Amino acid sequence: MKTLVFVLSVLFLSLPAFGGEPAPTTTGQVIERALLQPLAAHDDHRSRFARVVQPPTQRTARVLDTQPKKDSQGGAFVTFAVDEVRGRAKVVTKDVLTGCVYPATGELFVKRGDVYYPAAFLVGKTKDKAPSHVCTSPTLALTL
Amino acid sequence: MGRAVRFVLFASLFCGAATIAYASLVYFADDEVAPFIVEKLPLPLENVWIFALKLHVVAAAFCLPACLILQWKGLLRLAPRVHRWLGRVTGTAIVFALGPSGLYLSLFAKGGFLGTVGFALSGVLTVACMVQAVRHARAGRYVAHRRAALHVLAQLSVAVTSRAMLVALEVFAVDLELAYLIALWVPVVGSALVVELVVTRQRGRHENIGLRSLRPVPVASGLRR
Repeated sequence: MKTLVFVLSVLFLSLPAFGGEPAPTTTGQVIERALLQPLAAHDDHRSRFARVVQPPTQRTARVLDTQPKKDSQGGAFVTFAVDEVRGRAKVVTKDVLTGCVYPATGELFVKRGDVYYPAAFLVGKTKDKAPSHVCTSPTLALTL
Repeated sequence: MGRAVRFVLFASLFCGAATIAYASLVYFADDEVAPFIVEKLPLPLENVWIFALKLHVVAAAFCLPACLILQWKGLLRLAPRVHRWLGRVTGTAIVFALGPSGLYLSLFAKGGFLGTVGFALSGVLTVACMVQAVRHARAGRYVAHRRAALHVLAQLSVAVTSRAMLVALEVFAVDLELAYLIALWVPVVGSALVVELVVTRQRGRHENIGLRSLRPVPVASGLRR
C-alpha cells in the first residue's frame, strides 16, 4: 500500500501541473533545454586553465527559419544560430554556433565546418558525426 | 635573479604544471571527449592526432617539473649523479616524444599559419637547445650547458604562461584567434629574451667579480709593476 502511494505520488508530482518540469513547447525552449543548459553546466566544471576557448558569460539562441524545412527523410527541422557574450565589456559575437533542431523529436545538431554533430558532441559525450541527411534540405542541396 | 623572485617564479611554474597535468587527465577518460579535442574536430587522421596529443601531454607532464628540478642547485650539489640521469631521461623525452608530437600538433594549431609557426618555433628551440645542453654537459662546458638548459625550461614554461594569458585576455574580450596568437608568441619570444637577459647579467656579474680580484700586488720599495 505504502509503495503504491509512493509510486502514485511520484507520477502525479512529475506532471507539469504539480510542479514537474514542463516539456518544451517552442523551438527556442527546445534549444535552451537541449543545448544551452547542458553547455552552461559543462562550462561550470571544466578547467579554465587550458588552451580551450574560455566559456562565454552568456549564450543566446536565434531561430533563423520562419517555416520548417524538410530533410531527405521527411523530417522537419529549423536552423538556428547561437550568439555569445564575452568579457567585462559584454562584447557580443554572433553565429558562434549554428545548427538545426527537429522540433517534433527534440533532436538537435550543431554544425562544425561541413559536418553536423549531435548536440551531445559539444559536451564531450560523443565524437560520432550525425547521419548525412540531417539539417540538409534536398532542394537546397540541389541548388548548391 | 634574486632568490625570492626565483623561488616565486619556480613555485608558480610548479603549480601551473601540476594544474595542467591534472586537467589533462580528461584526455584519458573513457566517458568524455576532452573540450580541446571537441574544439578541434573534425580532423584528418583523427586517431593519429589524438595519439600525438596524449603523447605530448604525458611527456610535458614529466618534462616541465623535471626541468624545474634540474635547475635546483641543491640537487647538483648533493646528488650530481641524480642530476645527470634525470637530465638524460628528460632529454630523451624531449627529443623523442615532446618535440615530434608537438611539431605534428602544430600543423593543426589555432591561429592558422602564425599559430603553426609559433608552436613549431617553440618546439624547434626546445629540441635544439636540449641537444646543445647535452653536448655542452658532455664537453664540460657547464656555463653553456646552463644557458641551453634555461632555454629549454623557458620554452616549456610557455605552457603555463600562455594559459594564464588566455584567461587574462578573455576578461577584455579580445578576439579569440588574436588572443590565442598573442598568448603564444609573447611567451615564446619573451621567455627566450628573459633567459638571454638573465644569462648576460650573470656573465657581467662574474666578469666584474673577476676584475675586482685583480688587486695591485705590493712590491719591494723602489720598484712598481
